[in-house]
Amino acid sequence: MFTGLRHARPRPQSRFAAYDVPSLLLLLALGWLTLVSVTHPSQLSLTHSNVLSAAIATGSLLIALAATYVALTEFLLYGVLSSLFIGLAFLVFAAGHVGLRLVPLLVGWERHLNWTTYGWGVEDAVAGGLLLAAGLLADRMVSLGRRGRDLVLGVLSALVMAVLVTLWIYHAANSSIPHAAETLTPLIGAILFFAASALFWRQSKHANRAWFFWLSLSLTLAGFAQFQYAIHRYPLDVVQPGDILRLVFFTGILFALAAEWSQNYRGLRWQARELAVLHALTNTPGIHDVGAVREQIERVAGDALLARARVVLTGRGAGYLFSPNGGDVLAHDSDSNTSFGVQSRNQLAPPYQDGRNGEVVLGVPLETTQGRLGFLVAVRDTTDDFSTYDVRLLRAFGAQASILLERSLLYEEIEAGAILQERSRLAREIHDGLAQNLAFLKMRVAWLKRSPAAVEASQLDEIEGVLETALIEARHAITTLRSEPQTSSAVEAITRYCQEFGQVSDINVEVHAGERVPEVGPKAQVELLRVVQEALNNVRKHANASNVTIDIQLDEADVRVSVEDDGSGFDVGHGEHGHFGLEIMKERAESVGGHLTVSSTPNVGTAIRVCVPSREVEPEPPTPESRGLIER
Amino acid sequence: MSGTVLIVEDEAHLAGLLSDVLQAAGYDVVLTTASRAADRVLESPPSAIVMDYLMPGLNGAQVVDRIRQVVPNSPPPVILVTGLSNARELATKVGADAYLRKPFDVDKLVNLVNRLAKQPEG
Repeated sequence: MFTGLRHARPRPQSRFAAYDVPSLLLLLALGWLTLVSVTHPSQLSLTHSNVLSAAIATGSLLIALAATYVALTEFLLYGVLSSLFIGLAFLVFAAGHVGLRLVPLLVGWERHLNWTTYGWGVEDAVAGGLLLAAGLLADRMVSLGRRGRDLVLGVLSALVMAVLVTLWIYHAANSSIPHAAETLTPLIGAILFFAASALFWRQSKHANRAWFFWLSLSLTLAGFAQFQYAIHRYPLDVVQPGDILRLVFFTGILFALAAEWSQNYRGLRWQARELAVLHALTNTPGIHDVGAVREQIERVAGDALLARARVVLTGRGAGYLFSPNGGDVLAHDSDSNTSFGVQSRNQLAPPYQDGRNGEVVLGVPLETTQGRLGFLVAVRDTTDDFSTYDVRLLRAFGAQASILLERSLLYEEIEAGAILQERSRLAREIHDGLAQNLAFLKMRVAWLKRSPAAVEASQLDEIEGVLETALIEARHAITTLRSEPQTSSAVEAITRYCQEFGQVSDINVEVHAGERVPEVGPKAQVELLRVVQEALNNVRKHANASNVTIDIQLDEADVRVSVEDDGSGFDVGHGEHGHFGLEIMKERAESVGGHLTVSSTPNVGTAIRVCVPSREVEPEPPTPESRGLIER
Repeated sequence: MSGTVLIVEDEAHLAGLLSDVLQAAGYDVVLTTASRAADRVLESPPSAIVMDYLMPGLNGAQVVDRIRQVVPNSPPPVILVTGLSNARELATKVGADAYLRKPFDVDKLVNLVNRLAKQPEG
């Protein structure tokens, strides 16, 4: 399918790249139009209309108020300082349209007030200053290099020079010089508009925000309008080219608002999608199963991106996607039968995107605190690149998927550890039980073979008994190997052994286990089982019993196991040598902090009771002194 | 041959077999468990000790330590019998005079005991 991935150069994040040429042409055309109209008064087409002037002012006012509302809302919601300044600038615009246009028009002062012209210039300069401040604040997120700073300063100086030269030319051509303050204020506004426009343009490229793009474009037009205001001053009822440009500026702001709304809406929709996708991941069934988790990740990611998704596990800390041309070592994902190149660490920055053979491939690394697990790769049968949102979604998804995968891998490791532990426990059991019994049988049989004629029935009984034990142990080993690793309790282990014993011997065995029998330590469990084994062997060998009852109960804090038979019994106080088996059983119980008692009545039966603490206790080995033997 | 051999073993039937073998070779045999071995040695010092390694409570090395505590001057020779694969290493650790890995030829045991057993004084 895909053999490798080339790291794509960071693509321009802006979707407005396509607008660059037309917008530039538009700017040039409008700028030219303005310059022509302001430098050639004969070209001016002036309309005298109170109503039109008022309509333009009202439209601009409404847009300014809307922009104020949006910008201030963003400031209040997210504390973006640049938005505060943008909001204030539009508030100044709005106030200007009310105080310097609408009110004078409505009260009929349109032909009398020179201060409206001057105030209009001051208002624009103040708004321009606020916008420049907003641009600078927004731009603080972007570090201006030395060259960038020089460029901005150069452009600003050139603009100031251009304004001065224009004024000088006009001064030379026309003796009626505008009042210096009335001329300068719009020009200051123009410079500030241009400077702010440049900063917003830069920000639109950097932050991929349509809002800044339209703001920048509109401010340029507003800047050109200022030239006209600087040169010609007309009464308020005259609709001048500058007013038209200002209207276009506010139309641009309308676009900016629409773009902001649309971008926010799209962002919300994507965030909702992201949340839905991440939520789908949290519903992953079978967290213990790496395969199931992988499938779920691939399914959800594939559905979300309309692509085929694949989780490639390369092992912790290893694995890099690369260009087939650049890689020197191949890594292979055996599950998907996919080869990947491996390159040195840090060589490539994710995400990786590559289009070839009519498909695009997008890969993000699956990183954890412990290192890189592998990659999440999405493949689409198309030549269109994945969008910025796709990349963002896959990244967010990859981060969640990494956590899930790491957790399930951890489970798997623990499970593998449990299997190893179980195997080692079984090996120990076989060694201590089955292997010992078989070794004994070999030696016993070899010994008996020396004088076959003298073999006694009791010796054969003994062999049969040990064979039975060995058989039970072999069966147990097989069952353990076949089943899932699990820890069996002492009760389970004893019950199982007794039941097996009942099957292989001719003795009727009954096991009663209490409900709330607590757990004992692993060592105590082994010794308890050995005691029961030995007790049952003795029943089989010596007791001549037909029934044996095993009872496992909670006795205060101890676990008590009793083995009672209805056999021939014996005299407990008699013949130490003959009861070496009992001595060993006692020793086993004592070795885990327990004790063992034997009671037997000839012709009635024998009862062996062993008690071990429910928690394992490592008793201090008794010293000869503590047993009072030195004094003897 | 004569003398007493102390068998320290936690498997009763194996202890029984070793007992049969050594008795047939002319020895008196005393069976005991790990925790009581030192007492037995103190009660009547045996000519040799045949001892398992893995036993409940105490292992072979601990048993030998305790025997050496009670009879520091003339500890009886020890023959280690174990099913563990590192029998040689364990024998060194225990300070045993000889070792046999289960299952073993009983004649070898008898020969070892014959060779190592201290003859009873007098």
